[in-house]
Parts: sequence; C-alpha cells; structure tokens
Amino acid sequence: MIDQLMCYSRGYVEIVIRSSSYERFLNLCAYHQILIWDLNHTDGQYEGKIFVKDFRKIREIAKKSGSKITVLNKRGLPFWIRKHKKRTGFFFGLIVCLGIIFVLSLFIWDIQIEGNLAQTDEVILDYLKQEQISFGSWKNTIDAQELAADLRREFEQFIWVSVQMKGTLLKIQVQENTDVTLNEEIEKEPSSLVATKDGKIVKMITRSGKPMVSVGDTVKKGDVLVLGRLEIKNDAGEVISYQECAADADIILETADTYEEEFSMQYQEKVYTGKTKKKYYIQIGDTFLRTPWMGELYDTYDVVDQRSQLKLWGNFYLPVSVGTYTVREYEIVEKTYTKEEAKKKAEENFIVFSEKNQEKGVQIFKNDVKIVTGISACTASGSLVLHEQAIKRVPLQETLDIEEGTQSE
Amino acid sequence: MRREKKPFYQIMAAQMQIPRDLSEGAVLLSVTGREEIFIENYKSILEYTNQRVLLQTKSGRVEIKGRNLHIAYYTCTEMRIEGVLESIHY
Repeated sequence: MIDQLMCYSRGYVEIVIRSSSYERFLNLCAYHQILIWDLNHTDGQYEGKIFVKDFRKIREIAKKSGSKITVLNKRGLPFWIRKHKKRTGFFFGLIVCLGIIFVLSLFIWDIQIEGNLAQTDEVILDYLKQEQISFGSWKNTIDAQELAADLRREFEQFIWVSVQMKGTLLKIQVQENTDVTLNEEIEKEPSSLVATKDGKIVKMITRSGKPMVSVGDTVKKGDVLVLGRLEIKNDAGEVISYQECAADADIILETADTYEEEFSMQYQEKVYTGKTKKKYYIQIGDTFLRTPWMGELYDTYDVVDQRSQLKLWGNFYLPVSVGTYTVREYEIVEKTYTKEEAKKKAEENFIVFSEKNQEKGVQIFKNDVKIVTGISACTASGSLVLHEQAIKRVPLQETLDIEEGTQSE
Repeated sequence: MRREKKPFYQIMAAQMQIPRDLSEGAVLLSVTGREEIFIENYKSILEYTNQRVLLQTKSGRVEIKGRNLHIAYYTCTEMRIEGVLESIHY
C-alpha cells in the first residue's frame, strides 16, 4: 500500500523493451541503480515499470545495449498535475480547503464528559466556561494536566480526572467518590440526638453518648434519645464529673402516618392527529439557517428537535450541525377513568410514594390503604406504619436544659 | 582439491562465525512456498523468460525454472521473482 502510494506520488512510466540483448540492458540498469519492477516477459518483449526520474537516464543505456524503448503509459502524480496544470481554480480551492481544515483542527469542537454521576454535564461545562474553555476554544490555550488538576480542586468528589484532547474532541473522564461515609463530616461539638417524631424505638445502636431510652420505649417528639454527656462515677457510684461528647447512634423509630390522595376521574389526554410538518436547519456556530414552515402551523403542537454534529473522521468534529424540527399536531381530549384504570393509577401512585420514601430512608412497614372510586373522584387513604431514622442533632446545652426540666418535675 | 582443503580466509571467517554470504559473497535464496523466491548476492542476469531465469553468482550459475515467472523487482544485489516455481538448479 505504502509502496504503491510512493510509486504514485513519484510518478512512473510503463515501458516496453525490445532488444536482442535484453540481459545487457537489465544488468546495466541494475549497475546504474535504476529500479525496474513488475518486469514481465510476453511475446518476446519485456514490459516493466520505471520511475520518471530514472527514465531520463535510460536512453543512454538503451543506446549502448541496442534496445528500443517504447512508453506504454505514464502514471502518477507528476503527470496528473501536468495534465491539470491549467485548472488553477481547482488547485486554489484544494489549498483553501486544506487550509480551512487545518485551521479548524486548531479548535475544540466537541466536549465529552464521562463518568460523572453526581455532577451533571452542565455544571462541569459551566465551570469550563469560567475557565474560558468551551466549544471553539483555541487548542493551544488548554493545558490538559492543569485542567485536570483544577477540576479535582473544584469538585471535591472527583477522585480521579483525566483530560484528553483527541483531534477536535476534548474528552474529560472522571471518577466520582461513591463512598458516602468518607464525605460525612464527623461531628465534634458536644451534642445530643433528639426524636423528631412520636414513635416507638425498634432498633438502637449507640456508638457514643449516654442512651436515655431503650428498644421498645415509646418516645415523643423532642425527647432526648442519646445524651452527649457521659457520667464518670467513683467506686461508690457517685457522679464525680461529666465528659462531654458528640452523640452518635443508629436509631430507628416506628412512627404512624396517614396517606391520602385524591384525583379526579376526568383527565385530559394528548392525542396526536398524525399530522406532522418538518423544517430543516443547518447550525454554523451560533447562526441558524432554517427552511421556512410550509403553510400554517397548528393550534396545539409540540416540537421534536433532532440534530447531529458533523465530523470529518473519527474525532474531527466540525462546528456545523444539521437537524430537523418536527412539529406534531395534537388535540386535547377529555377522558374519564374506568374503575379499573382509576384503581391501577391509585396503586401506581402509592408505589411511587413508597419508592420516594425509601429513597429518603423511610420504610413503609405496614399499610392499610384503601382505594375508593366514586363518580367524580378516586381517593386512596389509610394509615401507615413507618420505620425511619427520625432523629436530629441538637447542641448539648439545649438538651441538658430539657433533661433538667423533666427531672425537676 | 578445493573441497578438501579450504582457503585460509574461509577457515578464519568460519571461526569468527561470519555469515558466508558476507565473507564469501555466497548467494542467498529464500523460497516462500512455490510462488515466491528472493535472491540476494547475485551478480547479473544471464537469461530471463517466463519459464526460466538464469543468474550469475560469485560461485556459479543458478537456474530457476517455472511457469509465468516475472520479476517483481530487482536491484544490483537482490531480486524477487514471482510465479510457479518448478526447479532450482546450480
């Protein structure tokens, strides 16, 4: 392949050798370091290929060996250029085109961010914009190593950042710290844990502090569960001093709650009429070239935007996008749920509700939610028994006041 | 006689483990399958048709016979012949 390209770029001639002493001619060529390749013997004559540069030297040799050389074909770039020499416009265009591609290759035209979960692409892109790196930035001004270091500094949860420039693509790969406990700040100020809801304690593991309640106890909102003060007693069992600390415990409370939801049996639904209109556009930088809408637009419609960025090859993204807007007409239709549909929707809503609670760390332990479908509305209601970590941290002094208050009573 | 007693330089070269193609200019043939032969250290072409290639080397002639033989390329020291090889004769 490379050989062929080289031959083509240097230009070669296909020749026919007719001679009574062709060996002499061939040996002389070798002696003068003239390369002949694809040498074939057909019908008493020899055909071969020779570089243009060598062809000029060959005449003398041919004379010496009494050979007759005829040119069959001229191939290669030098001949091609000579043939198209007069087409200045074409060459000018070619050079301008190459120049444009070269200039475009000096900028960043695409930014890809991978591995980010907690931080969205937009947040990172905004930060990059602050650092004056965006689509169309001059590639030379970007120091990949420094940018990686800056990103690590700016976003604490990134534990690994790699910045690569591939062609016109800026590729940022990050690894986020998913281990949450590492991020949790350890409380050092003396503090206590207080219940935020009425309930019964179903699980309690105290790591530091003095537990004021135990599993099975019923507590009220505001009750101190773990006191951030340890008593130091002497041999006689008398308290001689206190040691203050930050209380730390896993406490799960069983709490009661009610669930209530109501929705109308009537609802509106989008029904697409199937009528669509398309509009094509080309985006170059910030300017849009759009084709006009054909005819009048619909009363109610939504628009779908589909676009793709052009790239030359692999990672050479160009600042040009092509796309289409598709407008779809719809009509709003009033509908009524049937009993089954309403029941299903109410159940689905309850599942979404419990999933949301689960995300917050609240588990629905028991429920007796009943769904009632009427003519105009559907209601789902019932009581819930929840298992949740309903505690909050309160400075020690406040809880001491509460404790002393209850004791004095 | 020559077979029995090698010249001194040959013995020396053999002792110094110099390859014979370097020390004596011996011809080197590399044959790949039946379709390709690569020849190094030849002196000149004596005859070339598509059935027969006769080469002069320092220690004698090498005759390659076959069908559709053609020279892929040659320089003053090496040559590649492609085609269907039938015999190599010294």
